[in-house]
Amino acid sequence: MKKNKPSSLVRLAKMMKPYMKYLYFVFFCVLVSNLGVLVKPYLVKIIIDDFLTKELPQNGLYSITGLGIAYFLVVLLSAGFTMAQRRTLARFGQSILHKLRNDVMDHILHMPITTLDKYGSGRLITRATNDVETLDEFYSDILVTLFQDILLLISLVFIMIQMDWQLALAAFVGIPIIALITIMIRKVLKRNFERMKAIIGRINGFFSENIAGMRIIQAFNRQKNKLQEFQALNESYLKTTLIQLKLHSMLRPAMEVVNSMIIALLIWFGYNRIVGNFGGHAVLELGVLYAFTDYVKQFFEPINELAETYTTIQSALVSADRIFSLLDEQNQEDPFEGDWGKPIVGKVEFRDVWFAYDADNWILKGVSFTVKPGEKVAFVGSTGAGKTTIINLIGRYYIPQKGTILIDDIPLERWQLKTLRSGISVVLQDVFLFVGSIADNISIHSQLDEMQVRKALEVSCAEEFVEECGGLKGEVTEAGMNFSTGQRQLLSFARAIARDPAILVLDEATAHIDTDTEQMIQTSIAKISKNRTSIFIAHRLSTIQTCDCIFVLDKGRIIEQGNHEMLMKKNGAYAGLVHSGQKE
Amino acid sequence: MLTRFLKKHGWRYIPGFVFLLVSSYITTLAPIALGRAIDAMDMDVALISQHQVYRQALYIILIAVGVFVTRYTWRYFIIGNSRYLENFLREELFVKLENLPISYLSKQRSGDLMAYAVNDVGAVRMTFGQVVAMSVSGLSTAVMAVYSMVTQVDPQLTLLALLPVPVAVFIILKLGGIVRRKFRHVQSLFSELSGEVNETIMGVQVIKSFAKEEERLDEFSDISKMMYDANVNLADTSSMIWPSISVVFGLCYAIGLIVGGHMVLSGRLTLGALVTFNGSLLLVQQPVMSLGRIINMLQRGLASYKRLQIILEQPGIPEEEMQDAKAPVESDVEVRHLTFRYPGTENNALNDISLHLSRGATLGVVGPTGSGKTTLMHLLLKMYDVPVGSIYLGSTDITKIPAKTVRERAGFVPQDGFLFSASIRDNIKFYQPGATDEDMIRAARLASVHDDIAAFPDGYDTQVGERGTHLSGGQKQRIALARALIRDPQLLILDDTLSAVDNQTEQQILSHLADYYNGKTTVIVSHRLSAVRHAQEILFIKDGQIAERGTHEQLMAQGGLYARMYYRQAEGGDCDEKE
Repeated sequence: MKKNKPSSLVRLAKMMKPYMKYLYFVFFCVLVSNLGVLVKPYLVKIIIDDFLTKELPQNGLYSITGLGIAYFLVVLLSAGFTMAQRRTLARFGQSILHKLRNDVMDHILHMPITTLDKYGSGRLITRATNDVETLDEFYSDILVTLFQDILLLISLVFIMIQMDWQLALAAFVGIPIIALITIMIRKVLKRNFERMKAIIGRINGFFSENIAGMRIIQAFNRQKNKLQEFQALNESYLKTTLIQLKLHSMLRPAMEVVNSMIIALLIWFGYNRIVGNFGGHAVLELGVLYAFTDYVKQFFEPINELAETYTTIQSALVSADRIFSLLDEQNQEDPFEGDWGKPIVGKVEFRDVWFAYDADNWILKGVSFTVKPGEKVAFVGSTGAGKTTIINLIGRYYIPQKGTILIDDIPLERWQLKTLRSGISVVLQDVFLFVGSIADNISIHSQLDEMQVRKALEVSCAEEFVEECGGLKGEVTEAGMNFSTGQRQLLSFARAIARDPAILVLDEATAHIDTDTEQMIQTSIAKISKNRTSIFIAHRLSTIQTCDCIFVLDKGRIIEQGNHEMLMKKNGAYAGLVHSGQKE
Repeated sequence: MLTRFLKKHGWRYIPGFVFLLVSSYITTLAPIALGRAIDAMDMDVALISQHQVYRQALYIILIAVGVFVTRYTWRYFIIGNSRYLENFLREELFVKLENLPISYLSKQRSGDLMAYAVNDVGAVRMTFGQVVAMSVSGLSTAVMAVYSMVTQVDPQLTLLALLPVPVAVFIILKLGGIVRRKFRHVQSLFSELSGEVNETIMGVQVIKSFAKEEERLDEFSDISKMMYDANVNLADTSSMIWPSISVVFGLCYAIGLIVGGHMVLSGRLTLGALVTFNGSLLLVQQPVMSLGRIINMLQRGLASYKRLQIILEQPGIPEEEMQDAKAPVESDVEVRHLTFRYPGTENNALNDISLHLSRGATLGVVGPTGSGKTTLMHLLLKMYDVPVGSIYLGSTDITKIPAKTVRERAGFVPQDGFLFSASIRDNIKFYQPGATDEDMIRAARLASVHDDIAAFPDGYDTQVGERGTHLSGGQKQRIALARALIRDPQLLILDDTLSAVDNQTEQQILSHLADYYNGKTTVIVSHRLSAVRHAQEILFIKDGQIAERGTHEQLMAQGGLYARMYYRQAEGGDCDEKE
């Protein structure tokens, strides 16, 4: 952790490089508006000391009116620069954020499936949204606050010493006290806040889970138990928030008390100097005393902000660490990607392919088979036999440890990934539909004309219900929930064949759909697999009897192959599977 | 909706406001004390009274201590009360959710329900805490500060210097409105952006399989750019608020200095009075500055309050449904001409359903998706309002029996096998927290899931949920079944519970149930006919009506819908099915 911190900081800084001109200007603005903070009390001091106490003659701009106008001009100037500062800062922060978001997204999109699986969608989403937003605070807030506050503190110290070093030293007694109290209270606040966050996270989780499971809770009459669990959480949250409140209510008034004590000290000190108790005749100027009371009030805010900044920097660094470690992941999907770019004809061949997702746990153990262009083949076997893995290998989402896979007699690694995947359409078990229109979901960013989309829908038997759902412009809601499972399946078929791929790989859905829809799906499968190489991963044997060849997989090996009649005659594993299925 | 809260915690507002007003008053004393201290020193050395100077210095400290005590106290009462309110509202909401009929809940999106708990409760808390406190304290401080400027300093100077203040108020109201509008735009873009991120990541496999990474990135980048523009646009407006207010007040100060300075010279005002004036002006400035935030929070709070009110005033399940009552024990279930329509819909979900379930019998229910099977199960559990005279337990109309009692005797296993994120043990014992481990294992064995669980490294302590072991759909369904079986329900309802369980296991479970549950009534809803084959009676429901009924053999002989479905499932559709 400690080793990562500097490097993340350095990388955060590097992100700023293209936008430094914004940042320089922001710093310049801060400088000017900061000057305003210092000058205003000083102008009042001159008015008080020169004209109101010493009653010096006024002439021209060196007069109460002149300085009053100057005061207003200073306010105007620093207001102008403050505005410019904020506008520029927004451009600076947002530019970096825009870039960062794109980088992260670009990276995620190009990561190999292996890495994507390692992270899981939930974590990836957090990286691309929450973590990036946390860095917004770093760039648009922390950086400048840090600069501004430190600058303000230093210049306050400087100007006070310049004005009256003795009085300044007296005033500075307060700084360590303010800093100490602030840091102490903040520390407890932070710890308590972490607790608050943890509990509220649990409360929200509890809510969402119970909303989802309310049917069960009511069916099982468990309302009281769940309520008790909830009350315990809710009660402990209340307790932590009250602690937070008490500490918060103390912080600022405590500072006021310290400030007032300093002001009282200054008055005491000033008085003693005026009456000469400190020897000499160092006259105290009342204007200075007034200006000091004003300056002293300015100390708390930057110290408080700096103490807070420390916490935000920490959480920004955590987010930065996470984002950078994601960006460090290899994002080149296939290190061996080749340049073969001819359209696929449709021959698929596996030569002694061995594959394991992790270390020694071999999923495929020397699988060899050939599918000629236009053939229909099926893979059957029990769960875990390696059926789904074959899909992952054909599209080169995973790379086998041993053996070769060839498409049209060209090894996979010589193919351009884009050409390869455009020519092979994969239909996964779980259909994912994007929010948008039906047409969008069929064409998936491809330039397809309406005719092609309609044709695809027609061939996949989806035309009828699509018409009922508003045609090509019909809306698809989140995860396609406005369609039934069967309809989603049909849409995914249409999507798969819309670009007329040479090879179709179809992982049969396991979920049981009612028989009518099932019928439609079967009809659709028959139609979409016409005129192209089709590979089915079958979970139900009834659907594959007309295939040219059936491969029976068992524990990573092909143990039988042949068409339905041949395998039935053979009376081996396949026939056994068929019989056990029919018995029920 | 707040009467109960106010009755219990409302008294806190009384000391809260008393201390708040005292606090405001003390705050306005500070500039006066400083002014007097300056005046005490602004004279010939010989005339300065040490006593007077020290007294003012002491006052300054005492005032700060006074502010500390009173401020701390009012915040504890008022802001603290808003935390009590939050706590109260959240619990109120939870109880409401628990008591809302499923008919209502199923129409709501879970995201919306969550928003009540997270955003709306928070916004209402802010309104009743910060908004109330800031506006009352701001207003009282400003008024008292003006009062002390008028009485302690000079009325004319006060009037003159405060002349620009309305402009500040106007600016803040005007710009504040624009900023709120732009901010809403940023927020909506942000949720669009998050949606796009979600979609892209959830669908990354699809995107990859179509090799459309670049196109997707371009689409994302466009939204991200819009987000950039909206944020910069927002900053361009919001960056004006603070500077323009400070310019207006800068004018106030300048007027105070010029006019006040000359008044000091002409002897109409003391130097200390001018210092007091400056200090008091700051006390007026602060509340004006916070005006924008107050309005913002208030608007959000009111909108949230309305939303919460709507859900909290929804009629819940009537109380008498939740009472314990003696149920006609182990009696038959009789459904007589049941016709049911979901409230707010136009078509009947169930039409003229009649059936008799005698004790110990098994009923199979099959039919296409959306035919009303699950609705019938929910009605047997009284999840919705059952029409009078259509369902009887023994000879008692189910509408006369509390829902709690009806459910108490039933074991329900829903389609999705919903489990809570807790250990498997807690999930199975959910029904009966007092159950022993033996009971639990017995139930798990009956549901054919014991071996699966025992194979996990943590066994029954395995956590279900995101960070826990990944359970397959079939395992979840079987654990949900064990949860229902643990208490020996008199009526077991399996609502397509075994859809993700393979054929062999399904048969195993069914034979367990047949052996051990002799004498218990079972209703099995399924898409797979193998699951209902041995039932004493099978109903084929289509479009909410019983299309066919009888035993497996009878229905097969009938050669109707059921038989057709059976053949299709046994043989399945061929690759080139002609139909």
